[in-house]
Amino acid sequence: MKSKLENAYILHQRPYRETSLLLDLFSREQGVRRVVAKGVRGKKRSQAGLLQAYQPLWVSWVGRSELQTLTASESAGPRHALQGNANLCGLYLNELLLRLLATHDPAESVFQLYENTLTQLAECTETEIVLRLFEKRLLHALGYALALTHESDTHLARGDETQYYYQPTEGLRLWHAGAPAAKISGRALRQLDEETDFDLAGLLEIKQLMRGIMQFYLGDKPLRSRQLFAEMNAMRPQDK
Amino acid sequence: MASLGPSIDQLMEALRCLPGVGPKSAQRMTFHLLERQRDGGDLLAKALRQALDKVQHCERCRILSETPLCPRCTDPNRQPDQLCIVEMPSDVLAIEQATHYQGQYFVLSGHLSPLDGIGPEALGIPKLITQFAENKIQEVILATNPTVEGEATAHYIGELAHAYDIKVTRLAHGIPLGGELEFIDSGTLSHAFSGRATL
Repeated sequence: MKSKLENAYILHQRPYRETSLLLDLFSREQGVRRVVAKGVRGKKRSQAGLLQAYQPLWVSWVGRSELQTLTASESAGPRHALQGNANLCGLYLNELLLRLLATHDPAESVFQLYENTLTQLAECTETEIVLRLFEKRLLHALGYALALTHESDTHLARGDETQYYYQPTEGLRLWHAGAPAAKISGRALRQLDEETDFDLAGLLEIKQLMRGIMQFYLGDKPLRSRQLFAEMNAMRPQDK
Repeated sequence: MASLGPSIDQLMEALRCLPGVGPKSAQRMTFHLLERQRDGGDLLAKALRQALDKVQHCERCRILSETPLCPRCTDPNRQPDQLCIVEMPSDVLAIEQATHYQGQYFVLSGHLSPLDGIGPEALGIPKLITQFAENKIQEVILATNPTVEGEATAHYIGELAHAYDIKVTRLAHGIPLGGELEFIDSGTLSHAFSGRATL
């Protein structure tokens, strides 16, 4: 059973046995899946440099079980050069995809979104905006689009000066003391909805909002990359 | 599988903790030790016991050592102002064999990897920060692997070192000696190209 070459990215890799790698692949046509790349580590490594995250690949694999075997891999273009902070953001994207996408489920729109986001992360310094838009569009692509334009119970249009709260199950509602979710201003919501005019205060509110929403879809298990960033920040010297 | 007694089963099970040893190999090793190599088995048991009792991690560089500080950390001939940060103890040996580096080391025993749940605590970063704060180090050489996680680790430690005004360097990425451009993967080649040196 020989399969054709597919466009894919590696989301995560870990050593497997003596010379192999276990790869979590995200392929354009066949979604997330796990494959073994046999004999790519060690002295004769010729492919290990290629089998890295953010590298567009052409790959093929065989096998009928849950764990398949990589048969070929080729570069499909230059690697997205995510440096420093952008690299950490990339790891966050990868974890989100691994957690939210069902294995073997084709998700071509998500693939396109992921590829575009990597390009943006490599070029742009506004990583916060890039990440928030990725989260928003990812939810949209998975069928959980946010309804931000109108209040869900009264169907009134959103106003800039009004305070709201948002829950994935209930939608947008007027904020009141004791509301079950964090307060967010109409202005910040407009920024997220129209994807323009972002400012610092708005981004902070949007970050809180998206964090709550992502947590809802991710379930109880916290995101490890977020924990890691918190730990890393805690260890930074205070004067910086 | 038919059991030959609890001691034999226990030994087989215990041998399987070694990398690359499955049930079949564990069985072969057990029979070999008990049938033909009882002296060797005795030696193995003693050596293992002794190593487990005596060997700890060096308090300074975290490499395996029989003394609280390893011989490299106490060697007065080594420069105290250079610190090379590596992922694995085997990297220390590789650098020692290949270069004339005469500074200190710090072994992380891994790299930052959110998806595997490995954070700064597990890599001994608090210990590293205390060394930065001692003000003895002039240069930090980041020798983590050129993988995504290795780069993330290097970036993070680099930022920490900058906060203490320490010079930070990173190992160069380049074409292997004796390599041919045609067969080098594109990532390495593009790194080598952008990091080209003036002659």
